[in-house]
Amino acid sequence: MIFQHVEGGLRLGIDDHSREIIARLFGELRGEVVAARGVPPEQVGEHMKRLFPSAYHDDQRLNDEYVRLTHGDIADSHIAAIDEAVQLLSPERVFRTEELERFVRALNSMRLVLGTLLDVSEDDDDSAEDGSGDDASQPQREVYDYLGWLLHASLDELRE
Amino acid sequence: MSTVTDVERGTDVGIDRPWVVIVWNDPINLMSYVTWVFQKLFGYSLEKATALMLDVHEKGRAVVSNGTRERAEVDVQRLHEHGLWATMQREDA
Repeated sequence: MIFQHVEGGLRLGIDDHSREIIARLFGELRGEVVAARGVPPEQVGEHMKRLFPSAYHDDQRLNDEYVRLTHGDIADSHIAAIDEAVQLLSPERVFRTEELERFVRALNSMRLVLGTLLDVSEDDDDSAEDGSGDDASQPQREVYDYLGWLLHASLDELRE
Repeated sequence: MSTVTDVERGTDVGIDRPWVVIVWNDPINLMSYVTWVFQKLFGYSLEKATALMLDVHEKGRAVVSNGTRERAEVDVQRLHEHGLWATMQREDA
């Protein structure tokens, strides 16, 4: 059981090594989002653009206005979710369902960035099975898969 | 449907033409996550959220909400905060 039901809520039951890796990744992600918040939207790194998508793909003027109005708020929302997710990683932390929702959002943000860096595509499952994947990225792919598993389990918990 | 003329730009601007919010397929978001976001943000039933998610996955896109431009922008921003690839456009565009 990944989530233990205890008095007052839930507790995340993953091993310490996994906690450390995820906490480090959340820290790196937070730094990237803070950096993205501090630059003009057009200067956000390619690997971060899935966290700051376009709203109008057929009207540059409206999209520029949307980005100008929302860029900071969207970054702040990502940062808030990451900060709460880090707290939930504490072994003794008991949390409520609403907090798990932010954990889920932060996990998903991390997968979006990591998946972009790994250039994940719809065909990836097939290429992984036939051994044609890039070995150099294998550790990152394992982390990506682990995050997917943890996200899936967290969503199962939210549905209960 | 009523329209007004934007004199400065010389174009017709629909003032009450609904806007639609479109979510696009991407290879990273989990199907279960997309379904959950639709339920959470729009209050859709599991059945409706799943059907929309499958449209996104199989057809490449799905219209998930509609309304005024302001309402659509709010929905798009919330979807972006949840990591979904969402855009908006006029319904008949």
